[in-house]
Amino acid sequence: MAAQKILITGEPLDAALVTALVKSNANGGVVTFEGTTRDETGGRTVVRLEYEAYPEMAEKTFQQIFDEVKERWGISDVAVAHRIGRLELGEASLIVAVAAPHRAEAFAIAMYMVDRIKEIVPIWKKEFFEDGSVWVGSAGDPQGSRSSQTH
Amino acid sequence: MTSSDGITITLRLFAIYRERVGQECIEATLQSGSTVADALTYLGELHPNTLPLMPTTMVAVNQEYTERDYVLQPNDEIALIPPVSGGQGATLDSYDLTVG
Repeated sequence: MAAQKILITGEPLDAALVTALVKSNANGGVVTFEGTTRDETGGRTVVRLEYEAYPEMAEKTFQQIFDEVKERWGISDVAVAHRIGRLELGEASLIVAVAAPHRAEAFAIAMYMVDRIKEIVPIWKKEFFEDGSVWVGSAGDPQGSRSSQTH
Repeated sequence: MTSSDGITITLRLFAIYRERVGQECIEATLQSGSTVADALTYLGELHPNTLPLMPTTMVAVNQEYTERDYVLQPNDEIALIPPVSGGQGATLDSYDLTVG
């Protein structure tokens, strides 16, 4: 089953459901990445997060990444789910699932997809601290010009 | 619409732009032949608090990433894309993994 499923939702994400979209007997390896909200960034305590999407373009760029994976690895059993809106600590913001005949390509594709998502998919993260908030990655905002490691 | 008229475009604002401007969307009439860069100048004059954001902003026209010298067409939707949600990825070459 060729999946290529995209989900952008305000509801909690379920990694098992996203993984089930890509599983098939033709594949020997399934890799699922789950990105969760962390309680600390740059030494400041994060209390919650918000994600905001440009939904139409987010869908297009997810599809572009799927196309790149298909072109490069010939794999189309891929699925991605991104949560938007308010998230509490520990909740999943991103799930990427890949199924491939062999584990090496499944791992490589999962890594590739997560990195590309963070490069080109227009979804923004706002971190809320006890004493303020910041849009991650936005220069011109003194607290926001640093990059953020999310895994 | 003749070439002597202006062209009407839509600016879509997200995240830090939306907050600074206080709007999700601005409709603007620019001179024919205006580029993406001209649209950014227009926004910067209207909302100078967006100017510090612009150097790191990418721009999409009709949901495709576009260079700033792109000449706008009537009804184009221009989105300002400040840096997305972070994470320092590897370069594309890191994935040069061949599978036999």
